[in-house]
Amino acid sequence: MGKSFEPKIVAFACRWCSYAGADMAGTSRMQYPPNARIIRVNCSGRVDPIFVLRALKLKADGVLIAGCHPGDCHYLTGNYQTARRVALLKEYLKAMNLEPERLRLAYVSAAEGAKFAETMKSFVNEIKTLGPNPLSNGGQD
Amino acid sequence: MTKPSLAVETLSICSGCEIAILDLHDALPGVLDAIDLKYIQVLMDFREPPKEGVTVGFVSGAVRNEEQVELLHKMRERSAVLVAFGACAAFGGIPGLANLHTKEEILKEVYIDTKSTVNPDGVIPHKVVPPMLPELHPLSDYVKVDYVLPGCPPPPKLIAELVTCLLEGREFKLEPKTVCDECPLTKEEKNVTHFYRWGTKRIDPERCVLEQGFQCMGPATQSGCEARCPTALAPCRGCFGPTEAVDDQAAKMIGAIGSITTKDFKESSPDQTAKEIPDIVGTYLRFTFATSTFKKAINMGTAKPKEAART
Ligand code: SF4
Ligand code: SF4
Ligand code: SF4
Ligand code: FES
Repeated sequence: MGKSFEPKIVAFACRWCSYAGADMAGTSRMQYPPNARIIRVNCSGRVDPIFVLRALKLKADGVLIAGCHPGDCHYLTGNYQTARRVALLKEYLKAMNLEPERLRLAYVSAAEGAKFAETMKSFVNEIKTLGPNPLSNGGQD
Repeated sequence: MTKPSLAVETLSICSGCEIAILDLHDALPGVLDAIDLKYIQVLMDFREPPKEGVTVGFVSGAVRNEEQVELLHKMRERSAVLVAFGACAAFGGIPGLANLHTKEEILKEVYIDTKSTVNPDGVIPHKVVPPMLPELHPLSDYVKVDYVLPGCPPPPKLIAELVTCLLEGREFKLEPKTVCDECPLTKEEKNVTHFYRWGTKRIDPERCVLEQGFQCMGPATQSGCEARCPTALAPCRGCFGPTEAVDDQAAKMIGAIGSITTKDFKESSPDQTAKEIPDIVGTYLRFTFATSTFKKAINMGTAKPKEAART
């Protein structure tokens, strides 16, 4: 493993903010690591906790949920609900011996292309330090 | 015409499921009239199901050792219809929580580390007793299960219903509803600020206990028990397992908690909520950890334990 490890990241991005932010990062030709499969959702609140668990079970190395800033959710409260779910999901992951850092919630608006690129960079770096999902390496399946 | 026959096999159990069969009370003579009970160790002195086979086989309890794998296969071969009887057989049940630990950790804890144990040589039982499997399994990990009768234990009324269905050649199926759908308590508030440990706060006997801040598994649990716990003002623990549409009760509950809690961070932060719900697995996967997304905690040890025998 070691230096050749390129994390597989599943990123759920809200179409009203973060997905548009990712678009902006793209159209402005900002550089960010290509490790994420970005999935557009209508709201971060649409990310059912089972999506996160399945992604990790299927050996994703990290899951990013990107939504509107608190107070800015298009559906008013989706991101507050998600924030609470993420806190509980992290506890679930800990009980499974998975590092809670493999799940991250980020608030990125449509105007924040640079923040999207930054978030991606720092998340990919963090996962690189953690190493691969233990289900894909050493840990039993 | 000969009477249909029934055999009951018990694997890793607490015996509650067998007692539930005896609890049929008034209905029991009727069942015994209609069915030829061939094998049930709590009532009869036979060591195995009849060689000539039975119409219906109930298996209660989960699979935790190698002998139970054999017993289960024998029951499958000898039963025309096989029923996973109770939460342990169906989902691993409460003993499935042991999958949070490795077999080695469990044996060490039980036979060496517990305070009341005197075992200076650190002997782990290994003769006569059947070898333990690396983890606990529900029946369906090994054999085809025709019907699942959930519950810890299944309510007698439902046992009678299943038997009647089988006798009349009808399909037995639980309605795709949740415990909440059958619960008589009033649901209204979607603005819960804090969660409490059961017994630490006075409850309003009319209102949904989850909305009063207690962990009730109603939203994530298959109905069929007539919501017997919340009806008695106790939270549902989830013993009927998930509905067909849900494959992880904890995921469903985490989703529900997000939906019913207060919609800003003023009165409680997400971390505070997580602190107030301290044992996700023991609370939300109490009966179904062995069939949940991960089925067991990921073993960070070096060696990959060998797979449980599957034939
Ligand atoms: S389902 Fe409940 S009653 Fe039945 S054997 Fe398991 S623990 Fe006991
Ligand atoms: S959460 Fe529990 S108390 Fe509330 S409606 Fe559902 S079953 Fe009833
Ligand atoms: S209310 Fe819940 S815990 Fe109680 S019997 Fe029904 S399913 Fe089981
Ligand atoms: S619409 Fe963006 S998080 Fe709800």
